Amino acid sequence: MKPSQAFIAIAVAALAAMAAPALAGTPAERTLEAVEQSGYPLEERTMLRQEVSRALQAGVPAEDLEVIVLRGRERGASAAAVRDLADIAAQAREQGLPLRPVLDRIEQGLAKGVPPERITAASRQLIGHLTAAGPLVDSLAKGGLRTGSSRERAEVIESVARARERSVPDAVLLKTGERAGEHGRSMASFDRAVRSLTFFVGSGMPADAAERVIGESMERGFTEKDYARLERSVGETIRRGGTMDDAMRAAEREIREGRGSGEGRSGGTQERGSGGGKDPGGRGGRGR
Amino acid sequence: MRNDHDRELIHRLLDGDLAADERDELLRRIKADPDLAREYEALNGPVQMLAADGRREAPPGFTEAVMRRIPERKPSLGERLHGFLFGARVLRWNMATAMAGLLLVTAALLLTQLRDGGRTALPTAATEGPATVRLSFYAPQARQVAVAGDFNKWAVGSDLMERRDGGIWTIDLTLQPGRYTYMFVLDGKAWVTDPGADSYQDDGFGSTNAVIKIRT
Repeated sequence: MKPSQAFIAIAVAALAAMAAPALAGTPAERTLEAVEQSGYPLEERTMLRQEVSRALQAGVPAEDLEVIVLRGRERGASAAAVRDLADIAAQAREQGLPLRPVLDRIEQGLAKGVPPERITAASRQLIGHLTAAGPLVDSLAKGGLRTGSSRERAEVIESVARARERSVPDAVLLKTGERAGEHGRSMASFDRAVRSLTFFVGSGMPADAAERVIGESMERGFTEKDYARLERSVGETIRRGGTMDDAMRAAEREIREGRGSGEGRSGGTQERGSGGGKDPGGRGGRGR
Repeated sequence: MRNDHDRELIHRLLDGDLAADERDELLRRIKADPDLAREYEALNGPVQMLAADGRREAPPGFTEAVMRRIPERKPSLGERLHGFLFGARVLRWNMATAMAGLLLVTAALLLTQLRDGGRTALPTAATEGPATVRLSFYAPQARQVAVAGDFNKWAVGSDLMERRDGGIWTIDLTLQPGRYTYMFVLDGKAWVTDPGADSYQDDGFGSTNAVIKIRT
C-alpha cells in the first residue's frame, strides 16, 4: 500500500471512530433500541416500550433506563417485571422525589441478582419513605435547622427515608433535628447525625438510646470522622460479641474521650469467601 | 652588577640544581670575578648560617596559628551559591546504616499496602475537582476482583481491580466530591463488603454496602 493510501485509510478509520457515537443515536433512542433487541415477545415489548417512553418523558435519565432494561433481561426478568421497575422510576420522578436513591436501588438489586419482585417491593417501600421524609425535613428547616442547597436537601431526605426503613421513629428523627437546630447545626450536620442514628438502630440499639448518643455527639460538634469512629466503635463491640449495653458504653466512652477505637485494627483485609464481608447477613455466591 | 642570569645560576648552585659541569663552570667564574664572588657570598652566607644552626621543628600548632592570622576572604554570594549547588559532598555510610535504611523503606511500603481496607487517598487537586482514591482488597484465591457501586451503576465488569503481590487487589478511582456506596465482586459472582471501609449502609436487601466519602 502506498503511503498516501495508508494515510487515507487511517484518516477514514479515525473519522468513523469519532462518528460512531453519533451514528448510534441519542441515549433515548439507544434505550428504546435496547427494548426492541430484548428478545421479549412482541406484545410484551410493546408494553415495555410504552412504559419506558413514559419514564423518558417524565425525565428519568435514558442511561439508567437502558441499564434497567439490559440488566433486567440479562437476569432473566420478565418484560412485566422490567416494566414495573421502569414504572417505579417514573413515579418517583413525577412525584418530585429524589430520583437517584430509587434508581440506585433498582440497578443495585438487578446487579446483585435480587429477584425482581423483591426489588419492586423494596423500591416501592423506599418511595413511601421518601414521600414521608420530605415534609419532615421541611418542618425542621422551618423550625430553625440551617438549610443548605437543594442537593443537601435531597441527601437529607434520602437519609431520613433510610432511617425510617430501619424503623427509626419519626419522633426520634424530629427530636434529633430539633436538637441540631438548637445547636445551630446545618442540614448537612443533621444528615450525618441521622446516618449514624440509622446505623445504631440498625445494629440493635434502642432508638431512644441511639438518640441520646447522637444528641451528645452533636453537642460536642462531631465531624464526619468522629461519627465514623463512633460507628466503628459500636460495630466492633457488637462484632466481638459484646451486648448492646457494652456497645452503649463504648459509644459513651468514645464521645467522652474522643478516642478512636478504630485505630490499631489489624492491617490487611481478609477474603471471606463467598459469604460476604463482615456482614453476617451478606449474600455472596449468588449465581449469575 | 651581575645580570639576572648569573643570580639565577647562583641560586640554583646553592639549591643543588646545577649539573656537574655547570657547577664547575660557575665556580670557576666566581673565583675569577670579584663582583660575582661578592654576589655569591651575599647569598651563600645566610644559607651557611642556617645550616650551621641546625634544622628546627616547628612548634605544635604553628601551622594553624599562622593560618588563623591570614585574613579570610569572604566568598561572594555567587561563589557561595555555586559552591552549595555544585560543590562535591561526601556521604559517609556503613553496612549497618544502609541495612537499617532499607528495612525502614520496606516496612513503610508494606504497611501502606496492608493497611486495613488499604484505602489510600492520592494527592488531589484543590478543593472542588475530582479526587482519586485507592481501594484495596486481600483475595489471594480470586481470579478476578471488581468493584461495583453507585458511581458505575453497579456494573460488575467495568471497574476491574489489578492484582498485586501477595494476593492484594487494588484500583484507583477518580470521583467527584460526594458520598458513594460499593461492594467488591469476586469472580463475577460473590459480593463482598469491604471490611476496611470508613462506614457502612444497609443496601435495602439485607446486605451491607461500604461507604466512602470524597471530601471537598
